Amino acid sequence: MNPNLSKTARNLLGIMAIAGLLITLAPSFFHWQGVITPERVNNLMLWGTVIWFIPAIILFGQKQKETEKES
Amino acid sequence: MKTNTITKKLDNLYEFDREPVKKSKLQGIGNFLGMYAGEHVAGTEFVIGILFVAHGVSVTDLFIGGFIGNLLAVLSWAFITAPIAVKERLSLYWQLRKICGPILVFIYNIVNALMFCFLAGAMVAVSATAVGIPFNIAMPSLGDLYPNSVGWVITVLIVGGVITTIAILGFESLARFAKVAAPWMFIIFVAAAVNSFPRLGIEPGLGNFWQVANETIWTGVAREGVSQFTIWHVIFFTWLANAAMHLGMSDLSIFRYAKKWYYGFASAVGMYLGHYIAWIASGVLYAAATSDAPGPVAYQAAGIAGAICVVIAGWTTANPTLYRAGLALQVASPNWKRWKVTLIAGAITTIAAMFPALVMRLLDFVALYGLILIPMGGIIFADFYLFQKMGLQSYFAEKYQRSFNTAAGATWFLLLALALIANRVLGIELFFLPFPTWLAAIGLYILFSYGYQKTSLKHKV
Repeated sequence: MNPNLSKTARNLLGIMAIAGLLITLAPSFFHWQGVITPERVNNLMLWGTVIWFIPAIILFGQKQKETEKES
Repeated sequence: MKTNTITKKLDNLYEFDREPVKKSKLQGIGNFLGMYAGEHVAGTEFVIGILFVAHGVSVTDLFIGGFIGNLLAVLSWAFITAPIAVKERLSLYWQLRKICGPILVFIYNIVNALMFCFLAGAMVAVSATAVGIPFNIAMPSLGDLYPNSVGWVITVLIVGGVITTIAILGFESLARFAKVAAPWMFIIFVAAAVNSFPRLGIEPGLGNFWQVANETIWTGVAREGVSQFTIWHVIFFTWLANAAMHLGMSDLSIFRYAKKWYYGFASAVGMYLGHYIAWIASGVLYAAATSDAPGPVAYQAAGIAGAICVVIAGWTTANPTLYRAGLALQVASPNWKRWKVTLIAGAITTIAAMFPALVMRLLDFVALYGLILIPMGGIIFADFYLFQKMGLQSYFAEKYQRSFNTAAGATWFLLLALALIANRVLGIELFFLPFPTWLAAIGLYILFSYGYQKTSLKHKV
């Protein structure tokens, strides 16, 4: 988790990231139920993707010590 | 190249982890859960689920066989790999070096590097199937072994070139990006499968799921020109898809950071999300699609997000694989910078990726990869658990300063020759060979070591 962010910022970005995943996942279920068209699902999945990646990269994309795996 | 130069270079490369991991560096189970979840929801999952359908796997074969195979894989990590790792706390390289000596480890590294290049090649090809969509490139189909169009070759060259460049310039950044992408990729797998349900006629509520699954998805009938799989194929493939990592002991390098041996059970997250749900999901996508290539299959199910997922899944898997290949190859070129070695690995990877056989025969390649490396895991197992009980010296090469442990070398080479004969002459499929080979490696290494250690010690006296 990015240590340079305040707790509020982290929480907001976290909520946004989870919303992104939900926007990616949920429309396919609505399409299955016959509520929305496949084209609309595809658009929403793309939006969900964008909404996930922006906060997730800010939150989790920071350099940190990791367990390296080598041959 | 002189032996001591090779040894020195190898040791320098792995210098940072020469000593057992210190207590302060140990990590909690959360890291292992995250790592396994991320590593096993990858580009290969798109292809494996598709190939299971093509090989005529039935619903029961997949759901029961997949469950059992994944359970066996988790148990292998938990009861075989992780206990050795937390006791010794050494990377695979140093563990093998102590047992086999630097020359044999050098050979192992080169073989491993080539395997990594081919694996990365498969991932480059997976990404290329998605990149080619907007340009209407003719995609390879199940029966294709060689490049099928100029457009395909150009697409692979571009994708391979970009992936290699990024592996040279920013490996670490992309590795972090891969971790961020992992949860999203899993969601795309699930969402794309659910999105395909109406096209397959699966009613809301899953009332007719098993009927449709039996009749339309996993029909139990192989596609033309593809071998027929049974539940045994699914069990053995699923168990041994990561044979190099668990029974082959590659993940000693991971679990040496674990506080407790039972962190090995963390692999269950990767297995059941990636090698169960994602394989089932990609099978659903394939049944609803009109193409054999992962890119178009995902695009038809989830639009642009699906195609992006295939590119990212292939890319993020190819990146660390290419890095590891470069690391392993660097020992063969002492004066070369890392970027040059990665460039060579990238070139091998890109050339390999041009051949659709690598993707369309991915199941065979994955089995072969495990088979080639698994004897070394058996050797480590015997050395750790059985040698002292049998009056043999463990870590023989280190204790008696041998650069090539003949008993280990003979075990490895002989078993590979026998496996080749079993496959080519006796017709035993690759999927069934790794486990017997691992067991045989334990027995043969003990047998050979009785003679080898006795002779070596006699000569020393």
